[in-house]
Amino acid sequence: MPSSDLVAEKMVVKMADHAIGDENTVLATLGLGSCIGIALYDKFSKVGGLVHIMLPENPGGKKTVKYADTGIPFLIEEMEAAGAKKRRLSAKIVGGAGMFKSESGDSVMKIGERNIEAVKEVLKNEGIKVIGSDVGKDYGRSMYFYPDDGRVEVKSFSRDLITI
Amino acid sequence: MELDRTKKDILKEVANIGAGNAATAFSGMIGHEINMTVPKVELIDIQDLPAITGDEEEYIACIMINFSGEISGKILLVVDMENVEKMLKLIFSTDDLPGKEMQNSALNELGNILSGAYLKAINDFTDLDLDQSVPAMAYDMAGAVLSSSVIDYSQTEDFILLLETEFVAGKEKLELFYFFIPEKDSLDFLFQRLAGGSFA
Repeated sequence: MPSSDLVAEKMVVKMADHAIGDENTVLATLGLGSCIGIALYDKFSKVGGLVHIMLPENPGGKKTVKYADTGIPFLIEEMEAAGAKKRRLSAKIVGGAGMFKSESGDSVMKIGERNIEAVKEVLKNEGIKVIGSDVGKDYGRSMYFYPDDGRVEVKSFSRDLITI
Repeated sequence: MELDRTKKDILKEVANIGAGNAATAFSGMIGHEINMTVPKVELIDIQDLPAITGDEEEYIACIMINFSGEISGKILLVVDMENVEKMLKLIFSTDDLPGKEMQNSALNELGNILSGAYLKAINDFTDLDLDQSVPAMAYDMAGAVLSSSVIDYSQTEDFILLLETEFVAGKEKLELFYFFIPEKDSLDFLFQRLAGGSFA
């Protein structure tokens, strides 16, 4: 582990929650299933933001950060308030799995796929490029975002740690 | 949504009757005595669900059954990996377990039997007509599995109602969590039906 990790403050982001950090923090979200963790990063100011969304669309008047279409714009605003510039932001996305299968092996809920589509669409509309992703398939993931250099580590059960 | 004392008592009674019948069915299946905890009824923030069984990164097995009819909701059976192995050994009455496919099939069957018994008891008690879906299964990190299980209820809700019972089987101290999660709109109907019955 790089020495910077030793002093970094770890901030755990729960479901339907978000956090903003800098080079002295690690933003983590644990056990993503069909939910998606979106890490936005401004490498110039080293401001990083992480939001853990659960669903594609806010039906209106509901908790902002729970949904892709309201959570991502909210995170961008918060990051700008913390010194990031929107035009410099890039994104890394993790999650969107189909966790449950019937005995025949079919995935029973398609919400993960819908979340992936929605997140990509929202980011595209915001003009933010997705430069790394580990999404879909059928297993859970934990993600650790280091605004120090922008890397995201993805941990899954009985799989090697990957860095995106 | 708020739960007053009377409503909480009604739900506890529902959980007690359902889980009692499920425990009897479970005992019949594995040939060991089953003890169960007094059911807990809780309204929890959906954010807290991933850690409800402990560590959200712990590997668990979860069998999910949807039920529908006059009321709808989900039943979740959650077991950590150590207990899955113990349970399979009890079900197959051997330490030499068959292949993964047979194991999954046995767990699905267990899910069917337990939820069937639970729903049957509720059905008898409330005279509600309930159907259950075929089970779906997930093995993975608790957080990933549990958050995904109720994702369809989180579209408009930030809280879910959980009826929780823990089963302990024989000397093996096999532990499994059993969650009965009625959909919100079903609750009013359930209260209406029961308040006019034995709770009047």
